[in-house]
Amino acid sequence: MAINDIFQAVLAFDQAAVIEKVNAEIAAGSDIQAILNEGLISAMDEVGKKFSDGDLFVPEMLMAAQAMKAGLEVVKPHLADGATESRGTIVIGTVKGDLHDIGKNLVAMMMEGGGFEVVDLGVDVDAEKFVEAAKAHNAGVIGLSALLTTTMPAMEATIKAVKEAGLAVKTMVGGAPVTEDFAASIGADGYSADAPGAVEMARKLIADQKMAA
Amino acid sequence: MPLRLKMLTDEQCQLFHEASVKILSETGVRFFKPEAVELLKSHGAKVDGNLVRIPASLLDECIKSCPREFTWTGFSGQRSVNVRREPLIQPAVGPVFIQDIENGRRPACAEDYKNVIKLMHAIDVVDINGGLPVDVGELPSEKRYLFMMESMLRHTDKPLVGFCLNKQLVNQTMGVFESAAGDDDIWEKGHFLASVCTPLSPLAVDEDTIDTVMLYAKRNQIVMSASCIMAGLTGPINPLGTAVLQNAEILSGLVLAQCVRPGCPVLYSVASVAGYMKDGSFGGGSPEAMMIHGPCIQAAMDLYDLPIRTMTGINSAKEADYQAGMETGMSALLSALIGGGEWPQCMGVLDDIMTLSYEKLILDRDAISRALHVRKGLEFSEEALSVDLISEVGPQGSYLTHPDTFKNFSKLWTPKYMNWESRANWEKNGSLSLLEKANKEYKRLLAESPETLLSPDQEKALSRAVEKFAI
Repeated sequence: MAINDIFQAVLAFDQAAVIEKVNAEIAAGSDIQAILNEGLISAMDEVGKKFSDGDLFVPEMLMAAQAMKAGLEVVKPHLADGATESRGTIVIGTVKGDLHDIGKNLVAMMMEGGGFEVVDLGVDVDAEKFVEAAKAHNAGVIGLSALLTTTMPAMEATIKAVKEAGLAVKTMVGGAPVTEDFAASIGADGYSADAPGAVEMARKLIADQKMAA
Repeated sequence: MPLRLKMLTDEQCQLFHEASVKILSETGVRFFKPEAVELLKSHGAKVDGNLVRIPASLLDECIKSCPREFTWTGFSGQRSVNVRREPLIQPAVGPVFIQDIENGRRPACAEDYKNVIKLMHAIDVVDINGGLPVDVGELPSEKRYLFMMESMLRHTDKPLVGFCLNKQLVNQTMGVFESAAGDDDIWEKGHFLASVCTPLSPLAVDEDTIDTVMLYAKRNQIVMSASCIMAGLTGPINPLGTAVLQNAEILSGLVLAQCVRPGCPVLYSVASVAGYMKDGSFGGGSPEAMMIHGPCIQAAMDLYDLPIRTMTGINSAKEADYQAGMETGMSALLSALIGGGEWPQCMGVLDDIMTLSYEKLILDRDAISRALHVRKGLEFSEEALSVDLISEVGPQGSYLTHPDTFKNFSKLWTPKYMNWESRANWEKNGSLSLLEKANKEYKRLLAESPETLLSPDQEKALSRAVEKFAI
């Protein structure tokens, strides 16, 4: 099946093949949503699963994400107005006082691969900036990253600011010194130990939100 | 004569150095503080916004102005060490969790910090103390480092490591030292504190690091100019490429320190690893770490003639187990062979420097001592060749009761904790596992540690100093 060829090309990290096959499918009149969901996003879900299982290494995951993103750029102009249908918007950043971004960048890339719109605020981001960005972009989830124990309190401060602003957005946290217990203790809605897990968690949080709405 | 493992030929080492010079002079380093940029510019660096290109001439001048060796003195002045090549053992830097066989892993607390300082004071192979062997997450920043300084000054007289922090906190931590010493000219009288200063790899230095370098250098205290690259993530995947980058980064910190105060002591400090490419994380157990350090330490010894510091003993083990012993042991031996120098991270560290183990902290002593013993190499002399002795003892003779054996047997290495006992003896004494033995030992050392090393007057001075610098 031709859409499956797109899926396989992503799994083969073959950017050129992804672009060629997506173009071919569009020209053949295939359903755009099917190309997006079954060809591209599902492929990244499989990549994420293989990564979490230890079958793929990070450079391979990033190559797959690049290939998928190239396919996404081809698909985007063809998505019907009002049916952009991203899986949701994630605002992500490294918290105030912390300049480390490798993990945060991996999560951001995997979130894009998972079909989310990602607003990456960079590093050293204060609580107010997270809140403003979440409002401005109608975010479903705010993702907070920290590498330093001294900046973990900034996660709690950001979550507090989000609650005080009365936003419906969910929060999730991650980073080397961060644990699930810490996440619960500061009132975060979710935690993940790795990038693919973060995508799953974000999907769960957005699904929970939709059910509650 | 010490054994030495060189990873490059002399010619390759020169080319290696020239590669780093090219990076510094053509690619440049970003310094995120205008004052530092201006300072470097005034010394001949080429500047473009915050990007600083350091010419070879400035680099050479700064390497030359560093002391070839220096003395690092403890707070009370009673103890000091010479810093150059001879190995000096320092506690860990950075673990967030503490672990032991009874209570498992948990976030380190204030009591754990004090315990580790006491243990580092008590353990014979450790030469340096202080710094951040465990972090104390329960204390906010404004109280945390003040508490740590107070603990160090009370519980050890070994030379101390300080902290790389923002300007206010560096001044707080150095201020409490100065105030407790009761001497506002203390910094000119010796080198008492060192701070490890690390860039944001690749090729950038943040404001806090710059502030720390500038404050320590200005006060003639020790700048451990370090580089902590993860090959494949923040440096080239090729270990030699990361070594070139590491060398460039270390030298950029050295140049800044020397521009602040020519002649201030700098420790050339290697601390990079290979990234663990499976999940894009810090590869604590990577054997490539020492392969990255090799060329850098070789350049530091043969070309720059600088005192050296090598991150040694790190691992990715989750427990004090075979993996921990193997990874730490191999790292220690390689570090001893590539040059020696000052060693952080070799006492108790686990799990990519996230955790400190009380038991491993005891057992690592043997890995270090053993590696340093091998480093000494063989004594070569007529007497050592032992021809006359072998002839005298003759075929089927015994050496066991010979005076030569009696005179020299203690020169062989024996462990303090590793189990070399006969099985029968071991069983007779309760068949304790190594970890059980280490557990008993750390508790014994803590129980025997004095509450303070300070006299009542010094205690009063310390309390006043802590109160003065409370934020």
